Amino acid sequence: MSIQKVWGSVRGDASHLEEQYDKIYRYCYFKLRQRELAEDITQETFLRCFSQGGCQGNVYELRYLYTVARNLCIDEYRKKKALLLQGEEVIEDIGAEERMLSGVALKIALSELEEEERELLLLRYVNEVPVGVICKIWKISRYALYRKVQKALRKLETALED
Amino acid sequence: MRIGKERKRELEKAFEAPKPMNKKAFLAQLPKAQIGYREFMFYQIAYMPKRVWLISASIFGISLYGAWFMQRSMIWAISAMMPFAALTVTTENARSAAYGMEELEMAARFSLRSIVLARLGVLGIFHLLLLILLVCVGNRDNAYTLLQSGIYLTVPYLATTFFGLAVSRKVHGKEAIYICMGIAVTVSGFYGIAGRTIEIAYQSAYFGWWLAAFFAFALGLASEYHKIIRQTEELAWNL
Repeated sequence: MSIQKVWGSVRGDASHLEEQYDKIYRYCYFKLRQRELAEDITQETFLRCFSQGGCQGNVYELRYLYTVARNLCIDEYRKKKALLLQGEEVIEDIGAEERMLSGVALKIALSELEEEERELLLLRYVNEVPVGVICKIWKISRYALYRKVQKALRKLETALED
Repeated sequence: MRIGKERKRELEKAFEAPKPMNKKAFLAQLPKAQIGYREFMFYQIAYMPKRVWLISASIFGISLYGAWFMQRSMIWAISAMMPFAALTVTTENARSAAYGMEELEMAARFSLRSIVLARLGVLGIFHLLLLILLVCVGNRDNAYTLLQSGIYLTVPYLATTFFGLAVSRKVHGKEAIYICMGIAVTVSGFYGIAGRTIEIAYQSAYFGWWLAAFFAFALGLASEYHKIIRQTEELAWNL
């Protein structure tokens, strides 16, 4: 197991930082479905982590990055809801949904999962966030996480078979 | 239920997001946290091989044992152990060159110069603390003054470090480590044999010579450190 996985953190050199940026951006995009907004939130996440001591030296704490990104995305949901209540139009990235969920059977199968399950698969298998870090972000036990992952994978396989 | 590599790749594609627009510009502007010198030295501890600490601790442990249970005449034996502690410093200095990583490490973000200085500093402080402990323990029966005990034990350490650093500065590759080992064995053997046969050397009348040797090696060592810094700077410019 690499040091990165043990510490749940990532070295702050250029390639690692870029990789981490891409992962956080992908996560934000998954949450918000708007390219520019997702990028703004990603950058805000890094800046907040930096200013609030979420990085030591040039090492960014994974848990901190994902928690800040998640909270910022939730804030955006709330803002969006408030705007919708006021009757204002929210401009969405046209075709974003199609880009995310079009074509392949897997994308259709994914759309049948719950939002939380999709998020879990993204974090665990696409962004490769260590189990311990996800447990801390979601504030659940390892066992509970294991159950959720297994349930999501079973549902995905069933949807693919159908 | 496990997920296969193929399914993982498909998932990556399914969750693919459009390319970010301002990534490069943002990352270029992202403030970089400055690392303090103390913090940098602390980080270096983790990167030093465990055997360096183990060897140092073992040598000083054996010396402490000797100093605690043996008689005053054991000072020569304890001082004969010191070159091996100094060997850990010189081999640590020559490690990058021995594995052909010198030039690469010089071009890294934390240059070889700062890394070598930090590691030698950390190891030096560690040895100094152990040496102080050793001098205090070895001086229990007041056979010598604290200063005398300190000088008798430090001179072989300084001599080995001085010759070892001089060699590792001039000789590159694994040969440097072998020569450093040879120096440590020679200095240790000299103190082991001469300390036994010329016990008169440890008498107070000759303490002036010891002091002179101490200052000579200390100055030589400082000069070696300075030369090592200059050498790594010159090589860095040649890259």
